[in-house]
Amino acid sequence: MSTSHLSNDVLLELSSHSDNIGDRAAAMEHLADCHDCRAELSGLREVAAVLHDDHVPQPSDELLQRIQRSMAENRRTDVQFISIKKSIARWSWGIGLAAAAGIAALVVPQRFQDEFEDESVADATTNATSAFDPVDFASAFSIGTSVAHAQQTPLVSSRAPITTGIDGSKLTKMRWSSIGYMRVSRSDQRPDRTSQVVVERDSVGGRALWRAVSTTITRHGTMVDSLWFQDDELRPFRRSFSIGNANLEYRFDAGERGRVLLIRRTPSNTVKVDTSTYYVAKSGFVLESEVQLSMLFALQPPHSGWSATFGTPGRSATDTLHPRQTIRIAGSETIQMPWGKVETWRAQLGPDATTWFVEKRTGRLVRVTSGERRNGQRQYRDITTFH
Amino acid sequence: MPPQLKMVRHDERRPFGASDISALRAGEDWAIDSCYRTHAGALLSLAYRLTGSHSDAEDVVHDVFVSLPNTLVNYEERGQFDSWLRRVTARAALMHHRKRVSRRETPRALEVVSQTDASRRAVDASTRSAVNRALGQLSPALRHVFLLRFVEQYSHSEIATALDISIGTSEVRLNRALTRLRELLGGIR
Repeated sequence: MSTSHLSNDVLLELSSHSDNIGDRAAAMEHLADCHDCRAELSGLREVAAVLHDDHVPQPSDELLQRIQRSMAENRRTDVQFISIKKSIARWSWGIGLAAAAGIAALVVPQRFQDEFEDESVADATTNATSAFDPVDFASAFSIGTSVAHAQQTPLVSSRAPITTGIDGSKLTKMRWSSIGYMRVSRSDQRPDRTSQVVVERDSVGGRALWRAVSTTITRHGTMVDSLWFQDDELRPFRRSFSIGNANLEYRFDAGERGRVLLIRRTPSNTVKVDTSTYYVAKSGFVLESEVQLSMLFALQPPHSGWSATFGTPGRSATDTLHPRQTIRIAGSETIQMPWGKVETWRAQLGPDATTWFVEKRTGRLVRVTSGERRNGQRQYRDITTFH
Repeated sequence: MPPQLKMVRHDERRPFGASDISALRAGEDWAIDSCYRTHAGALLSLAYRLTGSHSDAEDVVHDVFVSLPNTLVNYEERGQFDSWLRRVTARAALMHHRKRVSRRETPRALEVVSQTDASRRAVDASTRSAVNRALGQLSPALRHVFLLRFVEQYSHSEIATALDISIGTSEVRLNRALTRLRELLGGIR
């Protein structure tokens, strides 16, 4: 007989008649000789009998009805959002330039024509790639407070294409991650372009809380277009991932001008729209500056020595959580990509004067990730844009 | 394209099959209804044990069912569906408890229900009452570990993950729970 008693875990396994016992024979041998362990096991078996034989309540019809009502509510949310989408598609955006310091460009909605809905992305061939990299979520701050500060005619007007959706049947990859936080990524990678749909969901207290629904098309390594979901494409997603009752936020990048459209649904079903983006890059840049920057560039074309400081509307200059960012144009630079040249402004951004580039054609900030200089020109393999 | 779903009614006498689970994923009413009638009782019982309250247990089961179309995304149809569902429910119940604690609400003591009916004659009524009372006197921290280990057959590693504690803490809590139960039940025996 072994001198030491059986461990609690072994006794628990024995009491529930589990097979998951390392050395059952040794345990049984010990039990045969040990009165204390036999008594312990007997007691545990009584507890087990109570717990396993315990009353299983009859599930009530009321609870079932409550569940069905909640699920029906979620489905209604889907339908409502689709109708919201249709009305939003008729909006356009004008831009304004913040006054004195030339800091923040804010946006106000205007009526919009649907003439670009059928614009398609032209095919071309390139071996360049780009990365879509959703980053940490930052809370919204200026919902419903957009004001136009300038009287100028917006240069970024209704030209940004809002085009047709991605053909879901052609998407080639799907990835699921863990239970608590899920990121679903569908991508269709072809030689000439990449389409990507990203859906992120947080599970909070058993309820799904959507963080972002986004779709992007990149071509030649640069994001050239972003798409609205079509109803028939959206529904399968949304049927698969029903939406809880929490605040909903949808984010759509809306075109080569770098406009970002964010739609927020509040619990009262009010729809508020803002053009800010609420992602903060891993590098620490507040990317709403990127959006506003492209607008600012459209209004005030950059040149060597051009500089501007961007702050978060409603935040003071001393707010360390939302620091102001300064951008300075160091000069003009041509970047050689595999498919051709990209004319850029070389920009120094942030307190560390990190080098970024502003694509002259679109006014978008891009970061070039690798390459070397040849004959006075940079040659790169990839351009990364953050959205 | 959404999957073309056949309207296959779930027969409560057989386990949920792949077509039932596809229908659940799609949020089909009949599948939810069928799943509820098959599993909700046991899930309510489990949630009640972990939350200590019937109303909280109903909230947990409500949340589990409403989010089934989402959570089923992560279900790999290799294991037993009911085991998976119990794990999802246990997780939701523990989350519910955590939220209650984070809101500084007083954790509920287990509501002792003394019911006797024909289906429960197998266990002596006084033993049942004593065990339920003793379980109700365990702190939630000890009760959770004990129930997960003893009833749900979690390993200490799984308990550690579920409760966000270390494996060592899980083992210590189990020992404390058993010691406390021994005291309350007169040496368990």
